Amino acid sequence: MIRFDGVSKRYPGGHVGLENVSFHLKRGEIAFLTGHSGAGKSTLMKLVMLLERSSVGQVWVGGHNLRTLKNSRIPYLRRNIGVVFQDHQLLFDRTVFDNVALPLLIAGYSPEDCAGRVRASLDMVGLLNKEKLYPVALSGGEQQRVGLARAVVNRPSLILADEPTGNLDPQLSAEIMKLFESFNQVGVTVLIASHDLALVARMRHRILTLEQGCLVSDQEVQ
Amino acid sequence: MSLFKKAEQKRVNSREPRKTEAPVTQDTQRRGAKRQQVATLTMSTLVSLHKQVGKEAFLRLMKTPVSSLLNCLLIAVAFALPALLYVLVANIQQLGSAWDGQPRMSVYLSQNASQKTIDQLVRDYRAHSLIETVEYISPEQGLQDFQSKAGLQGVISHLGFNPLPAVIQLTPDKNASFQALDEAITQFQKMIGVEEVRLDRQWVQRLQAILAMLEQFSLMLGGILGLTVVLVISNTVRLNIESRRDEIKIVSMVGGTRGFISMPFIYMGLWYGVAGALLAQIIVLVLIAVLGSQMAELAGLYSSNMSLFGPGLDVFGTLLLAGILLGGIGAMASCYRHFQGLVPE
Ligand SMILES: Nc1ncnc2c1ncn2[C@@H]1O[C@H](COP(=O)(O)OP(=O)(O)OP(=O)(O)O)[C@@H](O)[C@H]1O
Ligand SMILES: [Mg+2]
Repeated sequence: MIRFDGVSKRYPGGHVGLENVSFHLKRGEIAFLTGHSGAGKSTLMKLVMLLERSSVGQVWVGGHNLRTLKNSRIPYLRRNIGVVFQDHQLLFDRTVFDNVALPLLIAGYSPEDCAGRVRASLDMVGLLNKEKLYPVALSGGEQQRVGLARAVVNRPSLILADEPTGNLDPQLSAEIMKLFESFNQVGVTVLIASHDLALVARMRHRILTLEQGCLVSDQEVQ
Repeated sequence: MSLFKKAEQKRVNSREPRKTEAPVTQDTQRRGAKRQQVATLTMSTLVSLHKQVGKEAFLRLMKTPVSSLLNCLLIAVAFALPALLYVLVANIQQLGSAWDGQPRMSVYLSQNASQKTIDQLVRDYRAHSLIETVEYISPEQGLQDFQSKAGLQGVISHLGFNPLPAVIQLTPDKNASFQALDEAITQFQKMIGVEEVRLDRQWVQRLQAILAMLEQFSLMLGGILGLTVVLVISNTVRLNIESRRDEIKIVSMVGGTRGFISMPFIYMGLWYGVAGALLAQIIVLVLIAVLGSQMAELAGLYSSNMSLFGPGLDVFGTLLLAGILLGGIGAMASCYRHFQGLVPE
């Protein structure tokens, strides 16, 4: 599903985002991405969804070589990837419901058709009773869960989650992780970036570790 | 496909506890993917999406009523100027022939026209709605008239024959428009027994030339001011794009195409165009009404019944079309130039 082949990313000004990273995440796999702050976790995810392009090396997603993917196809690539952003990226002038409905509207569902799916998604993250609120009225953790509901509402075949439990208490974190696992069980490929080493260790999945842009370890499932 | 929706609705309605609710089954996952492709193509889906986006764009404008109104006013003035000029020119064209007193039309008959043909022509002209009086002048009578004028007696008698043709003198209705007279002349020209038709209308031609020039000028003015409208709208849309950069980025990150992201902005341009056209029509209507009442006062002194007609549906239709077109173009140009960062460099 995701294949990195000697990928480096240098930001303008010489900042190194990633350095010669190679790995392969197969379809239907679930893996964690860990590393210190600034190690390049978000950068890696940005490369997968083509928010950034690699400076060196090839990235394949869902069988497409992203270097040769036409600009006009990028939106369709992104529709198949559900992303939970580290900084939530919610629309603050729209309700929780409308935020979650956005990917469906984009994919061509009529506003009427969205309702069922949006509610199911919000129910999953336990926010069904807040659908009419605006994001400002939510706590950080709740905003994060809105982002999660939005990421999964269109049944993507790949989920990228950047610190999805950063603002959640341990119990809620565990529940959210279970949710990711249940998606994975029905065939969705999942990649989760997280600082929370203890949580990551408990989950017993493949762990990719980055250090200053380099992939320093790739532990398979124990 | 609808099965999928129903199943989902049921799940939501029954409010099962969160734990037992499996997020997706493999089956629904696949169906969802298929449905997605179908959904993009459905007409009714597209219509309801456009309805919603159009409504949202409208409500957004209503949130800042004063600045929106000022923008509309600017657009409306640009539209109203050429429209007003056009309506005034059309009015003058209509009133034109009334100012001349009585224009006269001479129908010269061919030499070999029989008395029967001539009678038929006279009857036809009498029956014509534009013609008020018809007077037949035979060649003999023409000769008499000619010779009765001082100093000309000898001229024709030298010839030994009467060179004058038979003529039918017509007085058209004084309220007839130029176009109507032109049409009548071409119609008369084709009638059997008619050699030539002449309208005494030198001044008419001059006036018409001036009016044609004014009409051209109103078109040119329309072109220039149309460009202004495009600039005003594209600039307004640009400001709106700047203030909604975050939103644009987010919609793009979750898979919105350029077209999808442009939609609210294009609707904004369309609304501005339509509102500007509407306001322009109102402005022209009011100005013409004011001018008309003043003219009626003036005309009253001459005991005539002149009045102005306002902009009709044709003018409104043109304004509306121009508004939609220019609003759309302005907004699209702005989207084209100011969407950045939708795709990585
Ligand atoms: N847009 C950018 N321009 C320049 N440098 C950048 C940019 N984004 C990231 N970097 C640099 O790239 C490196 C990796 O950043 P990245 O955001 O991928 O880290 P991270 O692993 O996600 O960290 P965190 O856990 O704090 O989110 C950092 O050193 C950062 O300074
Ligand atoms: Mg990060």
